Amino acid sequence: MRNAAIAHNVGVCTPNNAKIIKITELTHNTKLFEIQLEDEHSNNFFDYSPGQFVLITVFGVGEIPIGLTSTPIKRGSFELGIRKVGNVTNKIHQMNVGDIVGIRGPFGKGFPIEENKHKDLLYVCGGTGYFPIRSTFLYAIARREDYGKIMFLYGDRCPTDVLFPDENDDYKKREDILFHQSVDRDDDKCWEGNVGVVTTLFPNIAKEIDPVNTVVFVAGPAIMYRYVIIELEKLGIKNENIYLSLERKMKCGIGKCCHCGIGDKFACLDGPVFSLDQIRGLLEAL
Amino acid sequence: MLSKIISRQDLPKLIDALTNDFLVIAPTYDKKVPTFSEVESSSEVEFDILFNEKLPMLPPKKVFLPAKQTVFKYNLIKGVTDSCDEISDAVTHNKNVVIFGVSPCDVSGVGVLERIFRDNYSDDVFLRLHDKTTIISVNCLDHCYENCFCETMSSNDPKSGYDVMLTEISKSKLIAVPNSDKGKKILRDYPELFSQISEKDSEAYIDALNLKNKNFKTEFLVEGLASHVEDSFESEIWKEFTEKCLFCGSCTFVCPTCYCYTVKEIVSVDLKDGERQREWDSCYFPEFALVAGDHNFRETKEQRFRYRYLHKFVDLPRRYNFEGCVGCGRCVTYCPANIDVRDVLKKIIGVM
Repeated sequence: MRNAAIAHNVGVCTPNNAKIIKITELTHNTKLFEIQLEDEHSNNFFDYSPGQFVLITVFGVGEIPIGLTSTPIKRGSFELGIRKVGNVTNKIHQMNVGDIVGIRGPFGKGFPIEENKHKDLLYVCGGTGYFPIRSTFLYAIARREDYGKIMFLYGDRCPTDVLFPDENDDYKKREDILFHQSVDRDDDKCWEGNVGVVTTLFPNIAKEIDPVNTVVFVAGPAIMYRYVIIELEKLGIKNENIYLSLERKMKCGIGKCCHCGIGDKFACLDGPVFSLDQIRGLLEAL
Repeated sequence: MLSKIISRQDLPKLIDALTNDFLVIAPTYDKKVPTFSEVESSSEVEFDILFNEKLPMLPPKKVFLPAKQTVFKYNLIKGVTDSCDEISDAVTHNKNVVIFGVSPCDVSGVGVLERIFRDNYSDDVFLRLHDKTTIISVNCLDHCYENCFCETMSSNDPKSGYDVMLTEISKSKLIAVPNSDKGKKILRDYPELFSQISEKDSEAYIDALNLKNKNFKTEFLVEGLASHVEDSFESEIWKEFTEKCLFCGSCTFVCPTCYCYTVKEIVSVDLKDGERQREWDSCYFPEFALVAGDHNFRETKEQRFRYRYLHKFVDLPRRYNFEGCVGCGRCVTYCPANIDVRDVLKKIIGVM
């Protein structure tokens, strides 16, 4: 697993200035930001594991942890998918291409994707959980021959909240990926696919699962985890092969400020990705 | 021998000599409260705090992790302009720092913080100040007051973390034992204040250490404490203390090993420049685990009360091999609700 890889010549507590080079509007409240460090040399060193996060500073407003959305295979810049929910994310949404933000990281432990070559991969995500999952998913499909089956279950609240619809359509067409998608509600009757929470997608892949050879990566809200875990256990997948990304409040990202404590672990150092095995022994995790 | 003797009446001279070369922080009274503060001459130092065994209200952590501190400065458009190095050098007027009169439990406390801030990712803001500081400790030969339980937390005999240890070997003499390069340099640099050790002094030193050993008693056993605390996760004990607790955060602020902090952005009136400020935080505050969208990861008071104990007595021992408590008793002294950390622990262990 990689550690903070940017040369922190300014010290790990001070952000590196970085420039927003591209903004893609994903939904009414979600945007994808492509970011490049101002010091060009540092971009070559910016390496990360899928599932790791950075702390992004909007100068004058604050700093928040955001999971990396792009794949580390692509060098020179990285992407962060951000939904506007608080002060910092609201301000980021008002920013333009060329604006300067601060970046610290990458921090934390990501999904063990390199460690699980030749396994079948099952991705389960809900809502903005798609963002960190996308990083490891893009990694796996870029090295398709290294992995067995690749299955992807994605649920979101309603059709207008669906992230990366065009990419999703491409995946659905591919024969080497089993991509299934759902929305919780379809009030306007505009959705052609499955309606229901993400767990209603499990019957689609149940027959494809080889419980011994499958590794599961999950990201989404805590409530989703509880039900997804039940489904995964029904399929006979062992806890040690299930990885979940937990989110907590963070200030430092480096195990000093204590805001992200979960029982005897820190989300920023020991996580944010934990195996279900670890979570079972972790007080106050889910 | 590297250890030297200094007479008690020469201590003010030592302080005065040090103020020429260092920024000196020593025990003083601030509105009758014993406190560590910057001194310009020995006349400001209250030696009776040291020798009548009173602990300054705030531990020396406030030097490395001040209640408020600028981490870096920035321009809202251009980004970071001043890094922490320049800022912290300015704070100490480009001088090295001496903290005089640190008790052994506080030395242990600084050791805990140093390890935490150095490990995993080195926190340059903390270490920049820590690494330029020389700690002159004054040994304790007996429990300093009723709330002290340093022996229980095995913190009264730190093996490292101090640069010079002064131990009283008679009413008029102290032995100065250096414990680092910085400490040896202090004894070398002020030769007129230190004299050679006689055989009698060596014997007196051994006697003093034996007396110390005899005086300190363990109040309860901390062996296996981590699993006791973890096993008591659902216990009613937390409820009992939660009902008493005011969640004011005093215990966390006076604690030598509490290091939680939050950061705030301070922006100039013209909205052009700003700085990030690091500020003490407390896991007892409701906002501590509150995120955008109004979700609080520790919603109840009981969860917040319990988490402090989980962190100090489960997480830290497992991660670093020490408890997040040095037994200084400050949290007991300054708790407005009279909660005694020893009572909580004893109930958890099952000896009360």
